[in-house]
Amino acid sequence: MVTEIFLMMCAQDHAITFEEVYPMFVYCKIAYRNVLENRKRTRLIGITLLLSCLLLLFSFTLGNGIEEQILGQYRNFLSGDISVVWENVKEYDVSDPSRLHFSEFDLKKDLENKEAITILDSWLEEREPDILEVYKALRGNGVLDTGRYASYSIIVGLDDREADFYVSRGVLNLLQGSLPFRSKYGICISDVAAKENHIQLGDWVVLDSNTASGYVNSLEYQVVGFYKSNSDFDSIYVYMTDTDFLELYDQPEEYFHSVRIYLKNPEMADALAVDLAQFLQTGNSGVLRAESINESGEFYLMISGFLKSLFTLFVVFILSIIAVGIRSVVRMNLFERMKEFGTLRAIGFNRVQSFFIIFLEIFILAMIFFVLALGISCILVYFFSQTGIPVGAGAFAYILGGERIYPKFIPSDTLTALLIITCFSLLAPVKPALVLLYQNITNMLSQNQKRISVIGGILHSLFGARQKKLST
Amino acid sequence: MSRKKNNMTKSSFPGWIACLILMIATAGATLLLTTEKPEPEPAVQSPIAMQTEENDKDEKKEGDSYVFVDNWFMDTRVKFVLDGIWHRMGNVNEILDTAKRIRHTSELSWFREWSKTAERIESIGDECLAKGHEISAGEAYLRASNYYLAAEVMLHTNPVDERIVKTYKTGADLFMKGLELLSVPVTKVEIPYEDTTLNGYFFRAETSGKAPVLLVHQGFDAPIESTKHIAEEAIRRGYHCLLFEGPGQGLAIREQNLPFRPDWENVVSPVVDYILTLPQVDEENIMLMGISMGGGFAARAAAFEPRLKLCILNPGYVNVYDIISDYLTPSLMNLYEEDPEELNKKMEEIADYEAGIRWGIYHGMWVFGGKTPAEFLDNVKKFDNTPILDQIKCKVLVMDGVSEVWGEGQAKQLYDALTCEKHYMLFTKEDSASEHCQVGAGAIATQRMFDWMDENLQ
Repeated sequence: MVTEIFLMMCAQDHAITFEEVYPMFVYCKIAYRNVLENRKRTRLIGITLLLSCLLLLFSFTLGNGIEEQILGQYRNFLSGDISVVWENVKEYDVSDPSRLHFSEFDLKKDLENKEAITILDSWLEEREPDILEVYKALRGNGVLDTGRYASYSIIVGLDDREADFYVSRGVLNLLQGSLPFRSKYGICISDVAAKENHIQLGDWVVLDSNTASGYVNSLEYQVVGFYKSNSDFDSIYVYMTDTDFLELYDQPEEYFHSVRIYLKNPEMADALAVDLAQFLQTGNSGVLRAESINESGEFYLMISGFLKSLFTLFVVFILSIIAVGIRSVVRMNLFERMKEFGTLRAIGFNRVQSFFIIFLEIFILAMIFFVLALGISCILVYFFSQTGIPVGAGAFAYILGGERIYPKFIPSDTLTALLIITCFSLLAPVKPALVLLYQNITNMLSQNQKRISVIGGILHSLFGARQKKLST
Repeated sequence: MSRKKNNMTKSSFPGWIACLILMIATAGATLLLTTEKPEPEPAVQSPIAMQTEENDKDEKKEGDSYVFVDNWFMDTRVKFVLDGIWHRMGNVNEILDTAKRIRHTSELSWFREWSKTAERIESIGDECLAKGHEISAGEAYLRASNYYLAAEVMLHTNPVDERIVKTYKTGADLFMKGLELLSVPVTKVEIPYEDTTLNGYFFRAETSGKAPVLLVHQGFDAPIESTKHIAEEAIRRGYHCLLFEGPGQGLAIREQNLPFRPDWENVVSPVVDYILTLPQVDEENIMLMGISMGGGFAARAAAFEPRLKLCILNPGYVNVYDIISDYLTPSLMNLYEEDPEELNKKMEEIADYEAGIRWGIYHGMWVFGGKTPAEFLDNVKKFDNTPILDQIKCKVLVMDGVSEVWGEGQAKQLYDALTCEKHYMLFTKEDSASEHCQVGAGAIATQRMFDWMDENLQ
């Protein structure tokens, strides 16, 4: 009867009634009772599952964090889907991660530059339906001088729209004070720079800029805000209004450092970048060039891909450990419980029912510890998303986009992890359970495990039994 | 036993090496700690630094200069602006307050602060003029003029900057406007020069008949308007005075892009031709004065212009190339000889160090017509008076200062090389006039110079 109901349940077109399901509760009850009955056994399997789930979930969040940090920061802060930069950038190898930073116009080519800007504007107008957002970035090198301390800085000029974009994308996280966009000569510096230079909110500092004309310009600014810095090299940015920037850099209004174009469909980046690059050649200047994120961000894509592969490898490794671990634990556990299942078989439970009980036991344990692992992961992710996980300074930090990694939780990862754990809890007991269940009942009761062929046993139970029945 | 011995030998060998390494390391460390590290040689030396070095050697040059801006070049320029006070083209607090606001690293800070002061004073002039106070307006315009002319100097790092011409012209216009309001007998003149004209201001002495005339030009960078005190002193003493701009100077370089030329006689002769067209000029008594690097140019002109009666070199230079190359280290000079392209790159790097050095390189390239530092040096080489000094026939006054840092010793060298009738006027610390062109000491400088003129023109 139970077997029939179980087989009926497997048929997808069958509507299951409460009565039909009820025997399942019997299995669940037995499985649950077994789980509770032997606490030591439960703890052993549970800890294995808990660690597995925890590793799986946390590695997912780390992978997400790194991926977002590397490509996301680059896309949001520097490249967009398509970046338009000045011709000098072509001198820098695409494997250079900071090559777009070096974009700079040559004022001696003023006429060509203005012509190229006009051509760019006309392309942007023509392609407006494909474009989500465009930002003409203003940035330059400078020195922040408090009178006692001086430090190298990259000065970024933002209008309200771009500031909103940076804030919404997490590029600019205000910690204290306000963004400088309501006050003239107000700047926002990093918490790290503030600490290093002993700067308080409201202090006045001098910024020295190297202008495109070859001058040094100096102006005084009041520090009105601190932003959260992800790393030491991330702490060198100084944000100010676009008008203040133009004054500090003594720069004509139409000029920019680079242009970031965000597309409605980022998949079109390569095609549109080629189109724009050709369009920019229509003038006789060629002072501007267009590059898709895939071209300009070769380094970031490569690193991001490499790290992703590394993480996939890591996850595969973890899964293998999980599989081996669960299988070993289950095997050991089932061997200990041979007599128990022999009794079940003796009182009339068939192999499928017995297997189902074993599976349910592992599944219940997996679910309990998955939820527990999920809870712990959430706490860890929340904690580390605030503080970050330090990875040290230097090249590694540069590659990762910061000296700290901020893990990120994506709900779909929970589902993936759940699926993986379910699969493993289903697969891990298959062989040990079958080896157990295909033992002779007498051997099971006497806890005398014989070497048997599981496949032979299955074939025998399927065909041999049927032939026997037929012959009977 | 032998095996054991062998083992011992093996184990003692690395110890011996370790001892040796330790000894070498200790000796090395001791050597490093006890040896003084040589100071790196600066690639380009500022004249003030050179002066300080010299001060240690030479008692007479003990530095007691006042410092207004923490940048040697800007500080020198502030002293030039202060010099205007002597002829009512500046006021102490206006200048010092402006200097205080200047950020010593920044050309644009310099420009901005001087422009701010100039605009403020100009608006005072406008207000006074609107109310009919012509004297007050004239005084204000002259001060504003000095400040505008000071402001644009630091923009020469980028000679195509439109603000250079605009600011200079504003300064020059206000100068003329101020003089007119103050009823100074001056006329703005345009001197025919090749197929263009050179700007000048002709100050008329109030004499009934013809009067001697003093022709004055500046040197490397100063505006001719800053020599107003010489013109005023001249007309007070009965001499006409023509302040003029040659190629490489004033609006000739700013508007017409005419660089300095080594055959300066071809600049002075048209000026002499022009001055002789003025009926009130005594053609027998034409004097030429060259200031700063202009002293070297004037010497050259005097060798080829026979119509000059007197020539005043303040100070005189024999060879401009030597002055410039003095500021470059031997390694840079070697680069210039061996690999000019590399020198150009190096000089661009050096230009990034500091505003004064940057100014020197780019201003020099501009006014000497070189596109690169190496071309600048090539062109400067042509400014050598050594072969022509014995051709000067007119009477020459060489003015010099004991604190001279620009081409130190060259004035005396020139004086010694002259074969004509000559006088050497040395300004000392006791005179408070020992610096370049007697900056800050206009009173004693003009007194001595004009007294000499009075004595030698008779």
